[in-house]
Amino acid sequence: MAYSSIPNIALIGIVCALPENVVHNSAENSGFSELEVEKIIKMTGVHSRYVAPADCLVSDLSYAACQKLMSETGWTPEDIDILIVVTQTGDHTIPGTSFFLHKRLGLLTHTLCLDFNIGCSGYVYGILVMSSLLNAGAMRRGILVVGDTPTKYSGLNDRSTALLFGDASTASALEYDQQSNTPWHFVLGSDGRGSEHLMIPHGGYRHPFTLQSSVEARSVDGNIRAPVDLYMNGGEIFNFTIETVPKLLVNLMEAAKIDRNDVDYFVLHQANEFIVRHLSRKIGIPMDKVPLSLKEHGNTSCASIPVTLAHCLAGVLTSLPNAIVMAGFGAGYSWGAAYLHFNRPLRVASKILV
Amino acid sequence: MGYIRRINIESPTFTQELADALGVDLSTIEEVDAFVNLVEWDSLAVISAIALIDDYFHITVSTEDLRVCKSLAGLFALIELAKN
Repeated sequence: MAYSSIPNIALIGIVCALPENVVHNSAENSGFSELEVEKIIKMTGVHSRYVAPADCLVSDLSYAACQKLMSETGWTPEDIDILIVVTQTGDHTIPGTSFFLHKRLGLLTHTLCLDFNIGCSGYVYGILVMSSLLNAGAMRRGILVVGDTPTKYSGLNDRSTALLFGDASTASALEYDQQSNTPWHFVLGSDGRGSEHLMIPHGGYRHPFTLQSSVEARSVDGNIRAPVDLYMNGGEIFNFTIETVPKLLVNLMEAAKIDRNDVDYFVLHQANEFIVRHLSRKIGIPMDKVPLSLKEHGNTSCASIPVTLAHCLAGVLTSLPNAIVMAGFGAGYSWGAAYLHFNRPLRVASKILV
Repeated sequence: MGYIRRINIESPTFTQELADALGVDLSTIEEVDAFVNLVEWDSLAVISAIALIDDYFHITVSTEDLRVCKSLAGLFALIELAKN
């Protein structure tokens, strides 16, 4: 696995933006029976989700998150050297969503804009890329936007996804800081052999959208979906997760020369509650160190780690120094873990409704 | 890191936990060809079975192999194969 260690980076704040429309998982709100809904909730731990209406895009949520973040940190457009957007539900194929945000936020032409398409490991990758850029040269402040609207690609009749995903976007402020001398450690990896297990088959250039793309059919796994909907092979994703993530965290802690007692919280991608609990048991981490945000938000894809930070840990993050391990894993397959030591409290860790 | 809860493949606790995960009586999954027409043997149940097998035997089995298991005997054979 790839290893990296980067000093002199500080996280200043996190804002999470959610669409105000809340959908409670129930038979009435879905095409599933009460028994099916009960089984799904028991597995996923998801009771309700924030669902963006058709005219609310990831850029709208991200804009609100960035505005609040800049207001709370006191950062002005002149301060922003880098704007990174991590999403798989961008507004357009061309250009990247970062440029629409750049315009709406009134950023200046010296700002570097960068988009990349990565799923549930996206927050860890985003922090690594942002930290590397900040540590490398003259750029000093950056905003990392990590968000998705997965309800837009989840089939309403697919039991494996319909009641699982929620929409959210997040903005994190990072800056170069010579006084933050505890390096941040990263371990990351990829395995493209898993690409077929979590994908949207139609809609790209390999299989452009046609009339057939929206036609639902029953799949071999018994679930009903169209080729333009997300396909998730839950069993294979689970296998990948339990084989990869425990090793990933061991490798990270060895690389950072820490043990689990040095870590205040382990913030894992909120795939579903069954997976998070199984991982924590397998790794040997007590659940009081593993925050869960699934009940109210569902799986928010790449946003799930910062959503969990803002939802579950806002109080401690804004009042104490903290040592956090985070791990993301998902489509690709892609995985990444980071050990982040925050020498000082965050200026903001909050949620807003849009 | 990691642990093996029990190593007896035909542990009654394993089969009971599997039945609980499927939401059926123990006697139901002990029948011949129990999984063939079991509506509970769905994608959620497959994940539960994979997790149980990981807990008990510290191995992973593929979803395709699990789906073609017709009975507990077939499941135990699959686990033995994966252990080797």
